[in-house]
Amino acid sequence: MDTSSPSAFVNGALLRRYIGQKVRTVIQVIGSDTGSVVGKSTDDLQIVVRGPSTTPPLTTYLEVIGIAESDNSIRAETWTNFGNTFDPQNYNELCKLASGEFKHLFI
Amino acid sequence: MYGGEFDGNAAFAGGGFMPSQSTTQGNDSSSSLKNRDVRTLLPLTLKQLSSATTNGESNFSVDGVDINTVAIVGRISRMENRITQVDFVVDDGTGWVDCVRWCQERQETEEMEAVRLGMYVRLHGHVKSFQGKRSVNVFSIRPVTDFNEIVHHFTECMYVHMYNTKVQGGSVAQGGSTTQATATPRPQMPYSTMPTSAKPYQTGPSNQFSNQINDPMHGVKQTVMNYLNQPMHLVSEAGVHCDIIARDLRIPPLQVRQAIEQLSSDGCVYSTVDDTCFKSTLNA
Repeated sequence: MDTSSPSAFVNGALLRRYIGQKVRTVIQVIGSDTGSVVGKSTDDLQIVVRGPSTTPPLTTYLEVIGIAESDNSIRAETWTNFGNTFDPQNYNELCKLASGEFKHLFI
Repeated sequence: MYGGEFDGNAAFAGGGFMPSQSTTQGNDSSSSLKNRDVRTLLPLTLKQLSSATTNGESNFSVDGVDINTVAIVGRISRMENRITQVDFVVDDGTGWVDCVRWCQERQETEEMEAVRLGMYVRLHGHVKSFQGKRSVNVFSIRPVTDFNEIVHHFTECMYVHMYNTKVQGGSVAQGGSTTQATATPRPQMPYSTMPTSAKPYQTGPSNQFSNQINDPMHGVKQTVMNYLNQPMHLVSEAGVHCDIIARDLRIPPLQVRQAIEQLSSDGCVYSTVDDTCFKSTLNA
């Protein structure tokens, strides 16, 4: 059991706090290109995800886990399709709580 | 909620993750929650699990609650199938943990076959410790299909943590008080009364827990309930006249009436011979 490399739950606004660190977020996919996906964070900010060169078919929502490169881009290590019926507002609130009042349960 | 019992099974269908507390005031708060007969199902993040305190004998506790069974939601990051058992690693973003699933029955093997590397899963299991390393012995696992479940699990972890820590805080603050008609409100256990352990009375999932902060009558209602829940009033058929309640508790009759009206609509008291005499519904 190990908790030495957690990934913080972030939305667009929280991403800047974890630059260089491992983060996870869910974005709504707007467009994709070879090797990168552009999406909208759960708090309506734009995020660019740089990932593997072959992008598999993407659903509306995509979870990305990777290293935060800047305040609006992530270098993805893993991504998971979160389907089309995901609730971004709930996730947004979770991010705020997990980085705030309940940070000790997560990081 | 009388007597401080909160039955998780009644409140959360299929959940049952809340520990039930066997006694109320005047008791050491930590002992009231370490009832070994209580089976708990705690949703936890792996960070919480790794910081669980242990008394050295494979008995873990988090926020003062004994861990019995845990619920974890995370991704499978490693998996090795060894026929009679499957060893895998689950990562939920806050940490990772070694898990093992014994597959002796066909149903167990089938359950594991539905789970693949890289999938998000929900699992239930017991926490084990061997040579200082913690792992989970999984007895139930299934893939996550609706990803809102992940958000829900973490939200639940935060809620349960908050509930358990607030209960602890409240009990510790109260501990030692033995007077019956105590008026000190305890937000975590609304209307909890008897210092002697009353027959545990489980009510429905009322959200009294969250309502107290907004309820200006809470203190008065609590005092009136404490008064009516005294043994002599519980056994009396006729109940107590509200003016007598007001006189004994030294609360203005109008306030007592108001409190009783609210308590009556909540189902905590009822009128007896006429609409001036009331009895508590506890043990009714």
